[in-house]
Amino acid sequence: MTEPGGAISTRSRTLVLVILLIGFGAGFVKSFDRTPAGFFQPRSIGKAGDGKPHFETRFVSGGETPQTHAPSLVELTDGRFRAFWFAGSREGAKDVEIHTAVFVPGRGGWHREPSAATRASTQKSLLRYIRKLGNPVAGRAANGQIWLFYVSVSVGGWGGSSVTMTTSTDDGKTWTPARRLITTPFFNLSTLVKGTPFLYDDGTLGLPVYHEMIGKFCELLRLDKTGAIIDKQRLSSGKYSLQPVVLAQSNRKAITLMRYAGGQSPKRVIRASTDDAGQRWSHPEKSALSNPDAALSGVVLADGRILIVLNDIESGRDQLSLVTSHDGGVTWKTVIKLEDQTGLPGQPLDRARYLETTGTLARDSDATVPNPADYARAASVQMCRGAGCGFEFSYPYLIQARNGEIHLVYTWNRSFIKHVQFNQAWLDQRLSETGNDQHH
Amino acid sequence: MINITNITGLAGATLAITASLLLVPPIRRLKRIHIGLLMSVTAIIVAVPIGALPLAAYIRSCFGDLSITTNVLLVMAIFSNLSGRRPVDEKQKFVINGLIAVTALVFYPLALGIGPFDPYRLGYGSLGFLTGLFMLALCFWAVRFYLISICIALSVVTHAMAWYESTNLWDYLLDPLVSVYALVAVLTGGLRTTTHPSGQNSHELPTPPQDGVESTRCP
Repeated sequence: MTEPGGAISTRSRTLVLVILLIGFGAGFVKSFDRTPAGFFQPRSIGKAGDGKPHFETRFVSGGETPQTHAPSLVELTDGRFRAFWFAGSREGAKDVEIHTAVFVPGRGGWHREPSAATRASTQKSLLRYIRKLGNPVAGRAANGQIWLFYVSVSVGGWGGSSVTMTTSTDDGKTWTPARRLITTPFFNLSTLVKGTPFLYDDGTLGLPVYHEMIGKFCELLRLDKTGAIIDKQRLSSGKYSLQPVVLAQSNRKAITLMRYAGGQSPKRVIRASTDDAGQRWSHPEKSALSNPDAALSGVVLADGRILIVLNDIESGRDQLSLVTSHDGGVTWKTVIKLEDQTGLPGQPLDRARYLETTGTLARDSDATVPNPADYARAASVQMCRGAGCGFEFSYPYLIQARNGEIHLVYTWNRSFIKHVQFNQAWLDQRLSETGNDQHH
Repeated sequence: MINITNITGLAGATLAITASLLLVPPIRRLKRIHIGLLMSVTAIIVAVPIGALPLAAYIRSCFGDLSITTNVLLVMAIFSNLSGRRPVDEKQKFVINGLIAVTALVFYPLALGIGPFDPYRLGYGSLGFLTGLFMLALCFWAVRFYLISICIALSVVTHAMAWYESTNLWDYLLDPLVSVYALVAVLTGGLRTTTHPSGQNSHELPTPPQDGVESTRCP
């Protein structure tokens, strides 16, 4: 094998051809075995929950760590719920772990369990140096396992993120060794998760992801039943969209809503749609919903209504709203402002007033909180800076339980995770009360 | 138990660290047997865990798993330096570097989100992409540019075997390190040809002296 056209033996030439044919033979067999495109599997939960309207709120976390952020939620097989979030001394610190807690409906509060993942456990499994952990997102796979995806960073900031995956066969008591999903060809840098995973009708799983290193754009991964990536689809490009949420209305129709990360007013949630199970997505466009470069979450009810939780304002994260759409996400109506400190005069608040206000909010959020002042003090550590104190209600994660009830978790002042639970009777009552007000 | 893809990934990082010794001029002036011994010792040191992780794991943390193309080229460079034989000629080297450089210049901007088309998606089992690669590999085989054919074929077969964590064929064909190397090689080679039409490519790793023969030239 020396010179082109030179003295090369026929045997070597034949050997190269044999390598070529064997290599591509294996390649074509694998390619023919590829999983065909699937259809969405919309969650058709016909139940509306308990007939009596109810709306409850409580805290998931109890201030065990100074900083707490980015919760997600999954329903367990026995009707309990498990939440995940990342927490530590500060965002990006080496002591940040993926915390988890379990909630038993009807029996009071949340109970903290051992962390689902730590920097050390992730490093040991991946055989890579891990600098920090972030956003956990949990979903139920077709085989009944809980699949937990979370962000891990070896080098740099969040732009250097990769997605790590671990699974559990016992509803989160124990976890398999983590493995890394390879999602980009450039050192596998800059892929993060936030949106809720969803199932296709063939048992494969859709995982919305986003990139924020050079561009800010969204993609959709499709994982087979073993968790291997079998496809990736671009939902947007450029530098203006993050954290997609895919909402399937039927087996072919879905919309995706994305956090607006561009700087041009009006700042609106980005929306794209598909009518062919995601074979093609429409060009992403600004929707009617305001967005201050903040995450959102949503579910589709059995009657086709879409529920979204987001910061429905153009700047800040001090207001969090539940909104609904009857027409596939074209127009929206506000159901309730779950949190709203936008109208509070004199912002940013001085520390004393902030402690008073936040203490009241904590007590209103959870009547079982033993000392609301402790919650206010913990929040002030995160939310008070030189200019004063502010509020943040962000990173919502919304699911519908098998009994039809809606469960929401979100970051409360970067210090706690808050849980909101309501049924459709409350939703309908609320919508009848608001009438035609507050349309987008 | 250690995962097989961790072993293959760490092996690639170990190979890269070991081969990088050949870039150090004083090492290149050693006798071949000494270079071989030094590389073997280095490979063991970087692959053995010191503290929580082996040194190779830190390199892998930064650069990910090396493509099969990179592995083939590194093995070839080591073989060339230890044996004194050149498996491929300058023309083949130039063509493979040119092919990698042009592919990288088109591929990476698109894959990193410059527009709606993502060529990286083709690596998830696209029959058209695989057929195109097969035709390309056959063409290079026909004109006796075997190195390219072998790199492509080995990438395809290792992808089919799930050699690495990645399930995308592109990660077996190409990586940013070999892309940067190819770009530099093409640019410096072209520059040298322009200024010194008969000159040797400066990026080429020199052949070390035969055993027992002192080196008399600088690379």
